[in-house]
Amino acid sequence: MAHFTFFSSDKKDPMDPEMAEKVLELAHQRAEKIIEKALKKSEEIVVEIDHLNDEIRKEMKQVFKQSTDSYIHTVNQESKEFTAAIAEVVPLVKEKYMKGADETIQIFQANLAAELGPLREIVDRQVTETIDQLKKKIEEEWEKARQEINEYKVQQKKQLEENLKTSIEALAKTAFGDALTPSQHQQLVMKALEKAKEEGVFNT
Amino acid sequence: MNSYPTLVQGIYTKRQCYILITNLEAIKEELYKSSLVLTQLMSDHLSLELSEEILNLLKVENTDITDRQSLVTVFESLISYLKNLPIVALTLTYSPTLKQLLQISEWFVTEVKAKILIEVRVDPSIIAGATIQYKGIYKN
Repeated sequence: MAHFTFFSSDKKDPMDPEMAEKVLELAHQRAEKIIEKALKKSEEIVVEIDHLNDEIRKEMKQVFKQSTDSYIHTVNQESKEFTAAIAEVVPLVKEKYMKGADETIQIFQANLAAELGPLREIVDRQVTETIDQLKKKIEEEWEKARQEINEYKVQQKKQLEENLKTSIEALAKTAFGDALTPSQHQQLVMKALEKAKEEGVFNT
Repeated sequence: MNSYPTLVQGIYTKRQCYILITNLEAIKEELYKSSLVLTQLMSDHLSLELSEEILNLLKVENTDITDRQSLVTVFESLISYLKNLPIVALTLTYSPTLKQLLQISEWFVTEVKAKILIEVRVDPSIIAGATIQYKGIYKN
């Protein structure tokens, strides 16, 4: 407002350059002061706002805490009430459902017994048949094993006799066969014929 | 027929007998087909000794050697006799000599009173002696 007054007078009486410069400098100084004051004021406002924020924060915190406590208290209270109500209702419900379950089990058992009767007969029969078959199979296997053992015994005995015969023949051949002359061989043949005649082989 | 044993005196083995039967059957067949006389036919198939024995046989039996039908009858009878001779199978450890075969054959004539043909089988696994098989009977 002051510099407006200053310019109003300037229009009536034009100022010389030197004077204008002074006025300008003065205006500049005054402007700087104004700006400085404005800055200072703004800083104060900022500080106040910060302070206010802290308070608001504290208040909000307090409010939140109170609300939360109140809510927790309410929930606890309702929970207790709900638990108490449930505790009253549960035995009744339990009794009701247990009774229903017992009846269902009895019905199920009765039905099961009715259905299992023929099934048990079938199972019993199959078990008996399976046992019989197993017995038969075991007896067959046992008989087979016994037969194989007997066959093995016979075979081994035969093999043993064969080996014995071969050994005796080899021994006898070494002892007598090569030592006999053709004439002695012929004598043995003639003796064999004589013996056969005595036994009646040629009477037929 | 009574002269047949004499005829086969020189026959000891089944194999000899088989060869003789084959030759006699050949002669018999040719008596039908060929115009050759008997002596010629026998000289083609038999040894000189055997041919003489057969001629003697025919003479003893008063067979006309020009009568082919009569000859065929005699040959058939002889073949039948040979086929029915008993056979003894001897399994020996060695192959016998002719002398040994003759000895065995004569033993049968003397001891068994029969003409028995010998079928020799050699089995080196026999230690000594012989196994004898006669008319289904086996002796070791």
